[in-house]
Amino acid sequence: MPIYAPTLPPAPDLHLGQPPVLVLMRFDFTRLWRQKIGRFFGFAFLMLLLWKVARIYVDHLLHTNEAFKPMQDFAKTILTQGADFQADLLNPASYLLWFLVALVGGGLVARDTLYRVRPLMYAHPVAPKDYLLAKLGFASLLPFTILLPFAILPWLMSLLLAGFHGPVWATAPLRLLPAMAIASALMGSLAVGASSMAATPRAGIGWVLGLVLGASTLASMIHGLTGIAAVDALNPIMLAEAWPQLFVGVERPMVAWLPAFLGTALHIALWTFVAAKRTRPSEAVI
Amino acid sequence: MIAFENLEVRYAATSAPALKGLTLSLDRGIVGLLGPNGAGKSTLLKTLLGLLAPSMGSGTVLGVALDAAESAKLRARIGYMPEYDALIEDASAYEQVAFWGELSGLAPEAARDRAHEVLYFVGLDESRYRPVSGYSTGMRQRVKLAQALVHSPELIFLDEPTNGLDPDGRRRMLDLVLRVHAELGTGVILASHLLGDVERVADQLVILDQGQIKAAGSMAGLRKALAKRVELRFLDPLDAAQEAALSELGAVLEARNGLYDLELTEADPRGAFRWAEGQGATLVQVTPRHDRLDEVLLRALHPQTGA
Amino acid sequence: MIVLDRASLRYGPILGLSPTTFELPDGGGITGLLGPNGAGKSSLLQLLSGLLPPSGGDVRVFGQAPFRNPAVLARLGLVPEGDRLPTGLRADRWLRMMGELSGLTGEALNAAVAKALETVGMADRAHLTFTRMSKGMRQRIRLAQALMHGPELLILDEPFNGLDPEARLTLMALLRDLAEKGTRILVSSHILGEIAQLTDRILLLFRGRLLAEGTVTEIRQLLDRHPVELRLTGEAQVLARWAVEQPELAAMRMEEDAVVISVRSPRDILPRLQKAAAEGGIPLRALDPLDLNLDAVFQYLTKDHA
Repeated sequence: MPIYAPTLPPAPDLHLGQPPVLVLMRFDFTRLWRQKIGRFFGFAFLMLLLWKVARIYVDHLLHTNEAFKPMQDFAKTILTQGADFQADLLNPASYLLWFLVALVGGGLVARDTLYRVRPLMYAHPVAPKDYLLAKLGFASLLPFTILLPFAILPWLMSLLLAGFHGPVWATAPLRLLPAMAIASALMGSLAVGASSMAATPRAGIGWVLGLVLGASTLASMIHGLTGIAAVDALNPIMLAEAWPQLFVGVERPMVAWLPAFLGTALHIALWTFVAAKRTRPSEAVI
Repeated sequence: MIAFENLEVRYAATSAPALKGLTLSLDRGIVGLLGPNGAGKSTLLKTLLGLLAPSMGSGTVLGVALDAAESAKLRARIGYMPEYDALIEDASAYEQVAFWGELSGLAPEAARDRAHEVLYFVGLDESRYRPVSGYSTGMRQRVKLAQALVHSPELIFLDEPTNGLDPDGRRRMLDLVLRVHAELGTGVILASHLLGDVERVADQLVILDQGQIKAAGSMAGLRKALAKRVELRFLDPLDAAQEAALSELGAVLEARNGLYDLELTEADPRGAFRWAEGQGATLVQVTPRHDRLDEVLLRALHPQTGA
Repeated sequence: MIVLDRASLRYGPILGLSPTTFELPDGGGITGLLGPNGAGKSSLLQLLSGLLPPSGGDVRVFGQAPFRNPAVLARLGLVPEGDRLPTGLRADRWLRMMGELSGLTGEALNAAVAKALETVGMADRAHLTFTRMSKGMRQRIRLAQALMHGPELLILDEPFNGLDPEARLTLMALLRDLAEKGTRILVSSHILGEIAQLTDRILLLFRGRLLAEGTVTEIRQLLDRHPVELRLTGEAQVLARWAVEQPELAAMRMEEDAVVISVRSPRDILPRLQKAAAEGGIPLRALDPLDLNLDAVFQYLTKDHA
């Protein structure tokens, strides 16, 4: 009958762990869960989603129910139709989504700067690119996850009610998902880049909002002064809204293909570069 | 544990070396690392963690050569307790210790088990579930130590672990450091400005200054016994006549707060008892004098003055 | 020189110092102010240096109340805790500014700045800005600031914090030197070893009250319920045989080449031990009291009152 020494048991295996990117993202997710900011946003986005789904049903009624026949033409004039309607599915008050991204993303890097834990991360088997990837991944996955039901649920509803001839095209998700991915990457990189420049999470929120609104204001001012529409491609809010429009092929998208591509690439590259620079190990001198 | 051969480290190819000509061999034990601010302690640490590659020479840590390819593997086997408060303030001690464990490569389940075990080891009980922002300095230091131990590393680097602790907290932290080595068999490198801390726990010593090793070796080897030197203390303070009579015993080199540092005329310290008996004084302390750590340090930093 | 009569300090509902009474006599010397975190060290220093008035009772320094009293403050130098200095400023200019605040002007000011810089050994580096100085250099400038008006009482709050070992040793030597020249010095520190190196007179605060005041040896003798541990080095077997015959022996343990005995009244056993050793009756090579030091005194005192 042995008496066991009150010390630690033998070392566990160090090879069974998850990759650092995943560990870092999971930790950020736990924090998001704990912060409980989801209540307001959850409610707001749920209401928007209900409205979108309800609209499919209203549309269905207008087409099938004789009693509403006289209102059909009127409804067509006030409710978006065709390609515009498809693109509009992904527009759950884009300002609200930007605000959420700022609120969550603004603290992503800044919090680590404030608590000075980044040098300690690099003293673990975490490479700077793991860190950057985790933060970018988390900040981009967040808007993507929120947009996902907006792309899928109305489509399912339409498919159930009217089959292939419903108001939502049968191929809509194929067009909307890539658009969502691009817009989310844009939002994520902007948030992470702005957050990396801030010293506290609150300042980080300010940085994200400042960058987004600042870039939009600047772009619309230049557009207004010079009349060059392509300048709008610098406006991240417009870019995020333009991608679904481009993919579903609306008649007059906010930004054309080439400017949208260039503008998005510029934003993503610039803010990723800024974030990479600001989270280098040498910046985080021990 | 660590072996360097003429190691040189530069921050950039063009800059002056931050560490130069480091030749060093340390056994697994508790190593005290001393040196002024800016002596190269943090550069040495970064080199040990594989964050900086040597520009010249070679080195192995835990049997792994220092080069970029192996550095992540090496970091998983090293624990690091930074000097500053690197705590995730809004997370509980348990949560973040488990997180650091996972970052070192533990599976989520294993990391959680280890976090609990390590927190018991450092003596954090119920408070482990509260966010660390409400912790006292002593508790924060213990979370930092737990974080360094969670993946059961073979070597831990402690940077000023007793910073900001009061005497009791300091004693407990140093006891923990001793236990880390004695019970877990972990090698320890302890960087500290407090000679008392190093003296208390370390069995080996490295003195670094201006990027170079000024002295290194076992504590016993560096702190030599000084022949014929003794320290005497008496039960009651000596009066002036007795103090003057001390010269019969030997030369008084220093007298401070009732402690006399003597160079005896005869080698046998037992003469001190005979002297005290003759003088009507009572000795409470007769100890052969060894080099003090501050003397070792000053001699290493200023060899030219020949102190 | 310093008299506290039931002086207490509260910050709103928070206790700084419970009513405390003690007296520090005139004359030079260093007194160490010790205590765990939150014991009231900073409160006591704030009362003594006239930064805050006592919430109750009476504080007297040089016979007067120090709070907002220039007559006292002019004779007192304070080195507060921390390392905050106007970053871009040159040290000598800052010192001149502080000197002017003390009422020094013209030649007297120049002389005072030069002398203070000389004392702290910074005369040749005072033209540097604080940003370009090491922590040890800044600490010495802070000390120079407190010395400029030739104070009789110098109060230092955690002056060794963050200094590297060499800077600590230099500062200690400096303080010892000042004390020898007649300045009364009160130093607070968390690091018992440093206080022990500086002085054997201590003030020990615990939970807002004064627990002990005096020299370490005196205080240790009052702690008579803790037997004194003595390590006797020599032939352990022979020494142990001698020790068990002594009536004062409370406990004993053997080490390689030594025995450690716990004795209740060292005053009785030590003379006999010394006699036996002097006459060659026991092979005693070294005698080392293990708990007659500041560490042990601090630990016993705080444990006994916890």
